[in-house]
Amino acid sequence: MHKNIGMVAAVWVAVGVAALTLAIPLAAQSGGARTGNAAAGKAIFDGKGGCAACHSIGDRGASLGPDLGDIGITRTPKSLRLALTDPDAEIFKEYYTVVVETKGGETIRGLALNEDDLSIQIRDINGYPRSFLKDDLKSTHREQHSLMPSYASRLSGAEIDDVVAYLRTLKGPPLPPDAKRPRQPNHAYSDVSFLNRIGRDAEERPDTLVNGLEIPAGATVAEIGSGTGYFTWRLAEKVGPKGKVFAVDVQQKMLDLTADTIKKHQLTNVQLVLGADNDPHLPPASLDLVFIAYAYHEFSDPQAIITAVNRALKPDGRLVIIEFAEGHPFGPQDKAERMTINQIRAEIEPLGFELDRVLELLPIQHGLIFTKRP
Amino acid sequence: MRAVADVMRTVASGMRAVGSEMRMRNWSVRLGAAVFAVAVAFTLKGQAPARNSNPQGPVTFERLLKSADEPGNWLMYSHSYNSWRYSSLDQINAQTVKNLHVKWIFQGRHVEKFETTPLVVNGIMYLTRPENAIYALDAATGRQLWSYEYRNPARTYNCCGKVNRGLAMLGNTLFMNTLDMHVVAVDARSGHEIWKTEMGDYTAAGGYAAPGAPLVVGDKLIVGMAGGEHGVNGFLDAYDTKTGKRLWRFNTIPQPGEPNFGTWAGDSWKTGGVTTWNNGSYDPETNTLFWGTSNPWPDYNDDTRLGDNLYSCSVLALDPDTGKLKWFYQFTPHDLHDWDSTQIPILLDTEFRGKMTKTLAWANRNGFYYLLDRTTGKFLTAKAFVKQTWNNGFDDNGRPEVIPGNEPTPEGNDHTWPGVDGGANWMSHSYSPLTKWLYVFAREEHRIFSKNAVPHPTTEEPDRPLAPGALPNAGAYDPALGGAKTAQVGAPEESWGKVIAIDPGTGTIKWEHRVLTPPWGGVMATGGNLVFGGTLEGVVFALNSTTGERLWTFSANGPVFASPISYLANGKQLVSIPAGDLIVTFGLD
Repeated sequence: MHKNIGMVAAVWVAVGVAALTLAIPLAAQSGGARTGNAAAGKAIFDGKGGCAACHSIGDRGASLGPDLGDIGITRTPKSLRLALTDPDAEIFKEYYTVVVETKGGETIRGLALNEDDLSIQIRDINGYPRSFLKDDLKSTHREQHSLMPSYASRLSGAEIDDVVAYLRTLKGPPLPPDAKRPRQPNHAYSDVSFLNRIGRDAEERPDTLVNGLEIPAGATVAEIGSGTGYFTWRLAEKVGPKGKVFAVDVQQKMLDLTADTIKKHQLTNVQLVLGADNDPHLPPASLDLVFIAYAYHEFSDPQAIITAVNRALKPDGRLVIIEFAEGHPFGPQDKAERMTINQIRAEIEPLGFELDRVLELLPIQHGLIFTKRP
Repeated sequence: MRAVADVMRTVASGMRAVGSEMRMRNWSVRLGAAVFAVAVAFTLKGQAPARNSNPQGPVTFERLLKSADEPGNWLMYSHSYNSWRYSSLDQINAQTVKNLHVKWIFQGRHVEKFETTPLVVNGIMYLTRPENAIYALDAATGRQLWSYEYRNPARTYNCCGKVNRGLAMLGNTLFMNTLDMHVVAVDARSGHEIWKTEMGDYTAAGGYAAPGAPLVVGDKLIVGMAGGEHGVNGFLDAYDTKTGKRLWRFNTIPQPGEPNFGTWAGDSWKTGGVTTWNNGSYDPETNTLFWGTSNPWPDYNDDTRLGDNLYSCSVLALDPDTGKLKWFYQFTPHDLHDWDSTQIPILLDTEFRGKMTKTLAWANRNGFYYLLDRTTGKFLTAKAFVKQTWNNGFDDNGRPEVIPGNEPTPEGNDHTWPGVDGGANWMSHSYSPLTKWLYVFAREEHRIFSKNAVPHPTTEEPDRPLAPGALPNAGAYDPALGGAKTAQVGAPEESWGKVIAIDPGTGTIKWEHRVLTPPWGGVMATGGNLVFGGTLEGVVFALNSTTGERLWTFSANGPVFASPISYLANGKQLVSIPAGDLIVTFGLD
């Protein structure tokens, strides 16, 4: 088992290195249009940056900081840059610095591994696990800052761009070959009462999701599978009066419900589109973003739809796919209504897309943002 | 007694030697050997000179009434009918506790955690192991005498793990509730089943279960049920201990024609929950049975169930002969936070406003400690024992003045204290007649309350997705986890646990012993001026019951999801507490 992991990791690092021959353009919508050189960034990561002293990539390397094997899809370039220049800005609780002070006067800093009422276990800044009896300690406390140093003054702006470019190449292990999924062909969801269920906001966090997409005002967006308009009106509000939303559905009944919702929210920037099973009927090269929530798994001809989406997107357009996460303890029981990240990637990426980011803000869903492959 | 123990050890190790092949043979051969072993043990035990005060022979109702006089035994779930969970044994005390160490361990060998309170009768421990197995052990060594396994269907419907909380005993018969809504009577000498009764259809509504321990009162067995998350219709039953025949059923939701019908909007009473999933107490002086009830269903969404929703979140005072209601008190009318009132009722006589009063003391899941007159149900006083945000005081009848804004919301309300698991839960509290204080292992935390869709309660459809923060299996024990989650480590300011000593007459907290995380284990006070308990990280502890000072600990490193007991084996005081899937037993020498 352990050996297999090692082999996967080796392949994965090789893939990452192969990708370094290209200079990676960074997404424009978050963090400014700056371009770094990924190969130069890797050299800094391994060399003068000293990053590898604390971070592993794919379970290879040091273990004080978090593994960075898929950091390229779990963080935006903006967030990566922030982590490099101000490590305390977005820190998870498990990376708070634990400070223990022994009665002998020694102070040890590290990360918490475990704790009970009698003792505390930490990983010290050299990466060694250590355990202390609380009876032997003068004090224990946590500081809301990271053990990671800021690189704001250690690296130049261009060097930080290079490191960010390198980190953006780290997109997890290669897809396993068995990423097939169960299908429900010609299954267009029609249970309106479920779409209108009371707890839906808590289960799907629609506002957090739409905010997290950082859609600029004035953008042109299409939603495929608009249903009751649950996301449509939020997208329409987001793009504002100068923007536009195409609400596409294959069921006229759903388009009528979308229309009701749009009317209720007094929005006028939504155009309803009756789609076909193999064509969303969208204008070419015109869209900034295509949003598909809980509908992709129902497409009877997903390849045709996604190919059409690619044509409809502008060169720097994005495709967002939301599905309930397969393997999560909560969520629909029917496996055909859930997908894994790899299942989504395996179907979308060959159609001219690459994974840009995985949204980590959804409770029981996968949210994937793809960009068009240049 | 030493000789007896030796013989039992010999018999037991003989059984162990043939254990593997016995497993291959049929059940009756295996039981036959066990019966022989127990018979030998009992015979020798009878001849041995008594080195403790354990009365011998069957457990009569008279013995149960005076169970506090048998500190060497643990005859019922809460030790005595007043549910003090107090052991007067004092060999282990503030001076000697430093020498306490592990005497034996019973390995559950099960993925589910122990929530059981074992019984100990005449040197034999009887305990339930998940899902519904009974083990008889030599209480001095933990060596197995016999086992009985009730087989549940593959899919049962308890909300929070395939757990069981223990047995009741009368005569030579043990009684156990099952996850598929049966009650079984098993011969304590042989492990043979005597009778089995179906309480109801476990697949009805969204699923019923019976994970609690039953209670013997007279010749009746009082049995509660669970399923409050599944739109059931709750009840409390009494069965004939001899035959298993049902003698009465009290509907915890008044049915049409019954008093107090009509406190539920529309048909919501039909699926209102109101279960009876923990144990109760009994007052022989007034012949009254006390039992707590669960919250109304749907837990966090009251759109369809306006009204007080009687008798949810209440204590019921019942005539155990007939099941007739004498009085009730509702702690949380129209609950919206899953704040069950299924804590164990504690009966004690205490001074209230200068007058000795027969009271019922209750530290409730809603965060308030209550004192009621147990003869009438009259509300006497209440005081918060954990941080709370929902209640602005009480009127003369004890009706709370509810602060608006604590309701669950579709987006999730994260500012209400206590949390969904409450300031107290099902684990036992304890009262010490030495200090005259009540001991509660309390929970300080808040969580997200989300208003969810109301599913149609059925066991046939797949479950709908649940909201974040709504844990379908809150008590689930992950053996891979060992102790508590390290994720808890980051936020000590957001949740913690505390053992508190409460002066029952006033609700004043006399001392507090804080621990790292909110607990799922109960406490036991002893005549040695100690309070025993265990944390979610598996730290078993003894506190000085007068000061709260921690005097002794043991790192069991498995979460404690049960309450401790104490008893004598060969005249020596032992303390047993489940931790994870182990039962750990401590002694002095």
